[in-house]
Amino acid sequence: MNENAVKYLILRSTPGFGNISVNRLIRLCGSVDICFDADERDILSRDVKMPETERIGQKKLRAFLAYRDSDSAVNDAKNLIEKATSVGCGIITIEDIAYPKRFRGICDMPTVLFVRGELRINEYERSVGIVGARRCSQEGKEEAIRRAELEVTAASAVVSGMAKGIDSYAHTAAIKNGGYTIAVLGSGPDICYPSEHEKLYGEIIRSGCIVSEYPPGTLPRNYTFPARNRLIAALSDEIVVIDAGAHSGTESTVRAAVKYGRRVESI
Amino acid sequence: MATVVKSMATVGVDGFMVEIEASTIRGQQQMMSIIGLPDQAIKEAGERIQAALVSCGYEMPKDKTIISLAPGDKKKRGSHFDLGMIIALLFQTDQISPKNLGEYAFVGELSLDGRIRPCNGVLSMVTEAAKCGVKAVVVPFANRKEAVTVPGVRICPVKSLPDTIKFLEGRLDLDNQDEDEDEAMRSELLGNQGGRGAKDEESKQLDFSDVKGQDELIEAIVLAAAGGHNVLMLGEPGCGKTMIAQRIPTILPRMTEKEALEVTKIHSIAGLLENGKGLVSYRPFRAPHHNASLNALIGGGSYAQPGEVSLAHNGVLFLDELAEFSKSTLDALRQPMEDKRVTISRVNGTNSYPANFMFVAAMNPCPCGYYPSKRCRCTDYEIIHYRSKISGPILERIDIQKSVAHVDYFELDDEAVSHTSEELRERVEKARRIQQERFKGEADVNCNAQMTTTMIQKYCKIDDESTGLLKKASEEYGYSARVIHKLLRLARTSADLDGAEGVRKEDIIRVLKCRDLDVSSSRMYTIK
Repeated sequence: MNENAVKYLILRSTPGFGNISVNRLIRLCGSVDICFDADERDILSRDVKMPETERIGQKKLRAFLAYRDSDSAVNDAKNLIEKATSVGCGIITIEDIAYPKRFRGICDMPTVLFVRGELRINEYERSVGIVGARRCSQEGKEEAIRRAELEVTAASAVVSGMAKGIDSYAHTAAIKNGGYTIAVLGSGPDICYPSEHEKLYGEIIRSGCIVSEYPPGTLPRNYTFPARNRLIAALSDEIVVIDAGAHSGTESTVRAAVKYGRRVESI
Repeated sequence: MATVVKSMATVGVDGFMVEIEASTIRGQQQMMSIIGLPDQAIKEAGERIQAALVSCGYEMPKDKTIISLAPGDKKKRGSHFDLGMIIALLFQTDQISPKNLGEYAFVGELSLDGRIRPCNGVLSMVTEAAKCGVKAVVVPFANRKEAVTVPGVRICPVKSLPDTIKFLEGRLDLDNQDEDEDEAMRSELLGNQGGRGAKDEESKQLDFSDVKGQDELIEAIVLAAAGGHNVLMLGEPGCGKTMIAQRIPTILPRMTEKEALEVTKIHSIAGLLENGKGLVSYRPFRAPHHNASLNALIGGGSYAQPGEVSLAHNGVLFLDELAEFSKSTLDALRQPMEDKRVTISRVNGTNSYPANFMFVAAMNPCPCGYYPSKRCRCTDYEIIHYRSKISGPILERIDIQKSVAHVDYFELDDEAVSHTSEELRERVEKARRIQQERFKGEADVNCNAQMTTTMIQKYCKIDDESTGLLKKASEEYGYSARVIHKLLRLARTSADLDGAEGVRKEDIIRVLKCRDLDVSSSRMYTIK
């Protein structure tokens, strides 16, 4: 864990700050250290100099400054680190080597990731996201398995979301064939959802990696899944969509993939 | 001088004798007290007795009356002491003059107008009375058929208090009593409606020839019935799981008199016996809803009443939607399935009931119910999760897991006559006879399902070719040694069904088809 982890954790829990604001603030200051060292006038004046579309806004910045200097900020961050360590979660920041290279250059990627298992995505030249329907057909299941096996043979990492159906088959096939697989969750990395994937979850931690932008203990919510889907898209060089219907959750993965310039293949 | 009249009580499935003592004390305020650890029903007997006395033209004693139920340290319950109490009271106050009162035991509840109402547990009480050397038992007329099944004791069925007194004084012959008019009418009515009164006739009508297109499953059921094996049926909704289960009692061997007595006793105590019916002649079929509590299934209540496992004694306990039963309820079944008996301990006593039943269960193959058809959209993980709701120890005790084939109504051939229950029962009885011969010297073992490991080695020798088959299956589906033993027991039954001396290759092939759940689960694409 990086010594700057506390700072990144403070940034991510600043009221009113999302991933985009955090990324803008770091760029504004040049580094995370300056965000914490610079005084109020300095930061506010830097923001004004930015082009209008890139600005964070005076009000939000003041909120950050207030939070930065409060006692609770550091305490909360330290408590979070303690909690993560106690449940076996690792914290990876944008400064770590393990931080996915594929995230760089995308403005809404999280600067802190919570992981269980080993995040080795950067070692893989190619990574493929296999996503699709939860209620899939028998053909869909076979296709997912076949595709995952193929990718493992081609030494690619298999990325998916550990949801029911296609996702679970992709992970299972990758593990059974000795491949590396990453599951991006819409909950904290310490929560296995859906619960029937308990054994799969354990096996992914052992031979692959569970990734989440949410801290341990976060329960899955309807809005966390589209956010999770965009991470799947960003982690993959190519997205394979199987059995997905229109207006399904997979659609958000595809939209994100197109936005990030990933190849999309639909079966 | 106090009067002593005999009566009976029940504890568990057994009876014990109670002596009713009545005494009057002069010069005290008029009142009646009943002692000897009575329950509420017995305490209220005082009011019934007073009303019955008045309506039959007798007098309530003007003194203090004490009625004691001895032994005084045993808790007693039920309303069947009424008759004994009123007789004791009348005799004590010199209002009647019976002959040989000491030879009789009395059982029966009084109605306010002096009629005698039926009560529960009569069979157990009469059996115990005979054991205690009582010469005659006076029982309610409605319970007479149940009571006369006990040898060595005279049964005196009575309809009312005046009749009883006339009989005791030698002024009435009980043998020439008419069938109760309203009772006859009621049973006729129930018969027409196919209600509970017609239960026996109904089970007669159930026949395996009604089941179409399930020949393979019926074959497995015959195998189970022949060797006393437990069965799990897997099938989509509406494919006939319940229909088949209901018919299993019709192919089990007929009950021996001893078995019938045991069943009747339990049903009598639970109050499930039809009035005016004698021994239960058909094997019971019990199908508790999956909502059933642990106590309902195993037995319980403040008086440790028999539960479904005991009511299914010598019959079939059918659990539909097995996966919906709560885990603790199912796990509680383990002990009775093993010991063939349950012991229930409560504040008011510890009772032990027999529970030797054939366990038949049914469940859907997956949460939606339609696996493996196209309609099913359950994921493999969901299916495994669903199936794991049934704990290992219960599955361990089920030898046969058979899927029920999907039945297409329009393809059912009405002409093709399937097997009747009568034919199937003959095969089962034949196989059971072979087993009885085999296990003659063994205590606790009656059928192949109960064979111990040593016996399996002795009776289930197989040739190399069959061993190869077993080994192949074991490797494919990951069978444990325990499952292999199960298969060997089943194979023995299969050979017995055909009357074969040793276990043959075709027996092994037949039993390997009886593990559908294992086969289907092993095909799931999941991390195990």
